[in-house]
Amino acid sequence: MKPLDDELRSALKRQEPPEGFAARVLNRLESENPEQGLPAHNAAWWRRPVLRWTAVVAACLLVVAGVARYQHRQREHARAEQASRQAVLALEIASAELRTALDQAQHITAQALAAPIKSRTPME
Amino acid sequence: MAEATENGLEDALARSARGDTSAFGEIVRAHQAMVYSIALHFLRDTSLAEDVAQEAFLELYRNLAKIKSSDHLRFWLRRVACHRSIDSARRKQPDGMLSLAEAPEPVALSPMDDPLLEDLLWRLVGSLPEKPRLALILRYQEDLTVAEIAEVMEAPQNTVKSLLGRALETLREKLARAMRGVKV
Repeated sequence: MKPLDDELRSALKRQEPPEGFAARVLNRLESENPEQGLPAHNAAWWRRPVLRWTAVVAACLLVVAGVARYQHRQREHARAEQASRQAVLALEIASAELRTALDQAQHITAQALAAPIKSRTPME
Repeated sequence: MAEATENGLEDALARSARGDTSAFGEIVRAHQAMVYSIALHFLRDTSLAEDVAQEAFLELYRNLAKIKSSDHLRFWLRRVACHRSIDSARRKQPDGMLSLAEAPEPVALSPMDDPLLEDLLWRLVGSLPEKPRLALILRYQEDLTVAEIAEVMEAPQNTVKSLLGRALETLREKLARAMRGVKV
């Protein structure tokens, strides 16, 4: 009789599963995941260095493009605001000048109306 | 040769992770005996063992991205096979927890009957409580060291040593009784 260790090794030796086991596993796999949209695959592409770095570079480019676009819009907005302020200032200046011109015109008109009366008085 | 097989498995693992199901088939064929036998020795039921083994491989497919190497793959499959076998045994027999002393006695046996002795030993191991049964299967089927068994079973090494020691002692006693033709 063999020692117990050997008997146990013999009694507990590996056995092959019934014929076609692997095919049955693959069939179950296909029936459970008909579209092959499995998490393992989705995660697997991430493990490939080229794709990983491509994704990182693409993400960086997106961020840079986003920041540049934001800054460009900010600059345009600031320029529009400045133009608007300048237009208002120009209008204010024009308005002030018009007011001055009008005052002067009124002053001259008043003087012109007052002058003949003064000159007529000594002659009479 | 072994190195070539190992490289082949690493390659199959990488291809499987990219969605190549034929490569996954290679992995299944390379490890099916290990996974199926753990379940079979634990459950002593060919149909349940096949179910457990299939579940283990389906679970592997869902977790391929986490597997780092062929060694990790073997470790992972052993651990999942053990856990799924325990789950299946508990579903089958929820109150089937026996102490070592409660394990059934073998029938009387002639000392010359080695194939029968092997069968008897197999059934006797199968009737042990979960933990010592699993420890014996990992020790004698998979030839693992105490440290490796402890890692698979997620238990301290001293616990594993003690489980193995007590299980062997019980098996020796029960076999000795059977050899003397004494049925208790």
